[in-house]
Amino acid sequence: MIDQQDQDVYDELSPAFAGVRLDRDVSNVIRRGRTLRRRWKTMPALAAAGVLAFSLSLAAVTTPSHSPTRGVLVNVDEAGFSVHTDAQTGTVTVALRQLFDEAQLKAILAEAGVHTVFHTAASSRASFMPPCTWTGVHQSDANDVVGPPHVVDNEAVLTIYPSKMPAGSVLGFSLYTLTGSNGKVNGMMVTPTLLSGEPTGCVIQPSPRTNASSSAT
Amino acid sequence: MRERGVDHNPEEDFADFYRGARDGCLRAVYAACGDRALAEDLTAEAFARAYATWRKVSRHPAPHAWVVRTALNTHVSWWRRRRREVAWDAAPDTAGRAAEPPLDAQVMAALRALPRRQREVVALRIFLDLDTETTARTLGIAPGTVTAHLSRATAALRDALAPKFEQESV
Repeated sequence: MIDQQDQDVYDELSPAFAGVRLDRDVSNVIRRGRTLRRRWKTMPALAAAGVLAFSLSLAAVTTPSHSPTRGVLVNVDEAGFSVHTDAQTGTVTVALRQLFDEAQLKAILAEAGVHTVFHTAASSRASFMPPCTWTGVHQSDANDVVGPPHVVDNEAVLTIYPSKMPAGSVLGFSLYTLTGSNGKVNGMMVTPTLLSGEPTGCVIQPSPRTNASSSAT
Repeated sequence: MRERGVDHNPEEDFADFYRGARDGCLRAVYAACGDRALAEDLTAEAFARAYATWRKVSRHPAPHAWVVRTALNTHVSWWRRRRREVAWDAAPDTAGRAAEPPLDAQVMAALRALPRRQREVVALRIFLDLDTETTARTLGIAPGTVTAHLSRATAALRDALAPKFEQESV
C-alpha cells in the first residue's frame, strides 16, 4: 500500500517529465538495429581469427625488453603536434592540437618505437558516436599502454608507455573531432586500442541519428 | 495494439512497440542519467539493440524494461569511453536545445541528488510503472533491495521537494 505522502512525491515526478518525448523516426532505429545484427553475426569469426593472430605474435616474444626506450629519443615540435621521449622512463608524451598531419605523426611515433594507425572522423558533439571497430586484428584495451588524455593549454596530451606494447603490436587511435552547434571544432574524442598487428581498416557503426565522414592513415 | 511476438511482420511488430514505449523509456532513462541529449542517444541505441534481437526481446515479460536496462548499461560503457574525451572549449553547447521545454529544476535537482541505484529504481517503478518483482529482475537485485531503495529514495525526494509542496499548498 502506498502512503499518501509517497503518492504526493510520485505525483510530482511524473508530470515534470510529461513533455519529454523521443522524436526519432523508427526507420532510423531499425536501420541501426540491422547494422548491429550484421556486426554481431560477423564478430565471432573475426574474434577467433584475431585471437589466433595475437597468440602467434605473443609466441614470437622470447625476452621482454628492459630498455627504457624502444626507439630513438624523439623531441619534435610541429605546428599540429609535439612528441617527446623521456630518456629516463622511456615514456612518450604526445600533444595534439586541433589540426595535425597524421602521416607525419605516425612516422615520428614509429621512430620513437610506437607503431600506430589513425582513424579520424568528424562528429557533432551532440551525437553519440562509438569509436570505430578495427578489422582484421585482435583488439584489446590500451589502458596499460596509454594514460588518460588530458587538456593542457588547448592541447590533448597523451602519455604512451612503449615498453608495455607486445612485440608486433600496433596502437590504433580512433579520433573524432567534435564540433559544436556553430560548426566550430571544440574538442576531440580519443580512443586508443591495442591491436595485435596492422589492421585492415576501421569501421564506424553510426548511432541512429548520426553520420560521420572518416579516413584511415 | 497488436499482441507482440506472434503472427505479425516483425518489423511492424517492433515499430508498434517502439511508438508505444519510446516516451516512457526515454523518461525513465532521463530520470536515471540526468542528461537529456545523452538519454535520447542511449534510449535510441537500446531500441536499436532491441530490434537487432527482437525475436528474443519480443518474448521478454517486460520489453520496455529490457530497453531501459540496456540503455543504462550502455551508459556505464559510455562513461568509460568518456574518460577519453578531451575538449578545447569547456563552454556547453546548448544552442540546439533551446526549443526544449525546461524541466522542473527542483525535481531534477532532487533526482540528481539520489545515488545511482535509487534513481534507477525510481525510474523503473515510477516512470515505467513496473512492480517490485519486475524491477528487481530488471536490475538484477533482490525484491527487498528494491523496496529499500524506493523507500530511501522517496524519503529523500519528499525532503528535497518539501518547499515545493509548501508553495503549492499556499
